[in-house]
Amino acid sequence: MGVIWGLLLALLSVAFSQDVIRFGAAVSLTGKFAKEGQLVKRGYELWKERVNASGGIKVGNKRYKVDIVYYDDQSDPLTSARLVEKLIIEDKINFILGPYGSAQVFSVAPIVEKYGALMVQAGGASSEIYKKGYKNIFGLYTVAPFYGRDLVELATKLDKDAKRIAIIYEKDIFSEDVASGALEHAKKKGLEVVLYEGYPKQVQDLSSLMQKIRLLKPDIVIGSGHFQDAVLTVKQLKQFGINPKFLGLTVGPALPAFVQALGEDAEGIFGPVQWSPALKYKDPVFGSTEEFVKLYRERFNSDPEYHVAGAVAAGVVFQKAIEDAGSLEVDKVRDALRKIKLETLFGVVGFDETGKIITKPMAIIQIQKGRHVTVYPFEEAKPIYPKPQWK
Amino acid sequence: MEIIFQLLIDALLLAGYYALLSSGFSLMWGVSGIINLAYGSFVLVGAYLVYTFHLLEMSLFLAFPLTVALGLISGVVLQHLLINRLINYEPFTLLVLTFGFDMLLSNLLNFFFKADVRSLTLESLSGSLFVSHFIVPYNKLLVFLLSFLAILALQLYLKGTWTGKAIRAVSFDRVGAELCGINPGKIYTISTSLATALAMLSGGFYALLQGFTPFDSGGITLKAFFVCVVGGLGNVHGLLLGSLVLALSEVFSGFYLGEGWKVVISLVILVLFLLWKPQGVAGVKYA
Repeated sequence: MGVIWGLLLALLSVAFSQDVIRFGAAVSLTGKFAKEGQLVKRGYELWKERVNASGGIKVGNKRYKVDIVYYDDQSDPLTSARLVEKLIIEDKINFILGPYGSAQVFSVAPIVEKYGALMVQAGGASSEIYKKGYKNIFGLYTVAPFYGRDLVELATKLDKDAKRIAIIYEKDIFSEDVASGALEHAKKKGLEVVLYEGYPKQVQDLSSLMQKIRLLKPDIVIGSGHFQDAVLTVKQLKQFGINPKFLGLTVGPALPAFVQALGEDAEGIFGPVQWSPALKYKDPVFGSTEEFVKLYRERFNSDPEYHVAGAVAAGVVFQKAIEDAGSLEVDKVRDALRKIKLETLFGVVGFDETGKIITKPMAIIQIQKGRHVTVYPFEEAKPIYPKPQWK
Repeated sequence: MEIIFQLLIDALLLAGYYALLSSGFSLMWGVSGIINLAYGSFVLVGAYLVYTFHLLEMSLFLAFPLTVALGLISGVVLQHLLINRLINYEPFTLLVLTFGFDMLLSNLLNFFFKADVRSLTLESLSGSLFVSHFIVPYNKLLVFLLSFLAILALQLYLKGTWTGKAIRAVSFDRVGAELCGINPGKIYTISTSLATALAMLSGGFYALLQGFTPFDSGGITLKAFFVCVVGGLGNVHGLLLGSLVLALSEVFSGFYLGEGWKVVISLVILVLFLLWKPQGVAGVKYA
């Protein structure tokens, strides 16, 4: 008996002598977002292992190991909120790594704010998160208007003479947000916006819109919507014989199902993504995007998804902010986050006063021979321009 | 100016299809006085059937007749199993019945096919005919021609055969028809069966024209309702006229005001007709 007590005591003293910073995360490990949630968790774990292997987070002259407490929110935003409250109150954790999904981030944010904790999230891309006046919420996903902005940016980079742009969008919050970003940037670039028009959700025929586009002969067509209407847009552009030089669609092209649905007609279409393994950023913890991707491939035998990369970066950003602050106090770390300007494997991280990331552009992929290749901001391959004519 | 002609072409093609789409609804309403709120669901059942047959790599030349045959059978079943039991109650009871049946069908479709948008894309129909500046998508042209043929066949059947004449007689005056030795119960069954077959046939065409989900039935029933109210019941002229009004309103409001206005404008027209000319432009039945 005495031996066991002795062992326990020894273990406890080891545990206490080892300084630890505890982070908390409520992610979806079961339910609708289980896949994404587990990828996010994997990202946090990869970061933790890496940091701990290299000695831990340096605060002043001390080094702290990282520990992460996870709870499963079962893909329910209300549960996420409750669990984050538990993390802060019962587990006394001040540093929250975000959940996956805009709805989850929405429901967790006020709790974090209320108890004066701090959250870095890589799980929500809605710009609405940053319109509530929160001070303690920082997000790494490029927000919706930038999807449109960066498509326009690439289009103008590829062709200085392409002046006429048509922007069509599905009428829902996300797609309107994207379209407004495209519109604003098009005006800034001096493009002639020949059409800016929305269509109802779940639309299954865009004939009238296509007649208009055919008449207006735009060089650039930007479509903002979801998978179904992206496919519909391509089918009907083809049917109406409309051949813009640049065709950018928001949600469709990045999904493998897009190429499956459209086959050869998907060739040359551009689409924005949060992140791609072909990017070439440096990273203070993993060395670079390339090295991270190599590591990941060796270990998991697949390419990392952007969810993983974002989660890793959330950890890295948190770590650097704590090191910059030289303190574990929430206020000081928050100030450090506000000031941070850090190149990570996910992109360059810097926030505005609302906690929104403003230094990371969207990456843009193009479908070439049925494959996704990254063409912006780094060129994995030369972009094909103008888009090949419909067969 | 050119665009006006283009829009007129679009509207004409669409009107031809709408006429077929509404024919079954009109027939059932005209003959047995039933406003079949499940009509749109039968159209979708047709769409999913043709879609499934196509997935099973069945030729469309076989898939369409098979769908029509299944439509004829399910019409008979519907009449015997459900409608006949309630036919002597108030019309309201039948409305509730068909409404419930609509929900049942939508949810069954949702159960089997999930809520994803499906579409029947044929490589051979994905292009368009370009005539000088005008454009005519192949799928719309084909559906227009086939709809035209189907309506012609229906018209010949109603005017030329004994049963067809009996259907029209019952529609015109049930008691009079009964006195001439026509069994209205039998005629009701035939008209429901025909109506369901027409619904499912136009469903197959629907699949060729655009994507569909299990919950689109309300909008489809509404289109058929519009055509019947505006055109009136009882003859094919009304059907064509109502379809033309609907197609013109959709195409022009879609182009000049935006896709989101299509339904609004057609509903406004529907209400105006209900207020001022509820028997329809060419209706004879209640005139």
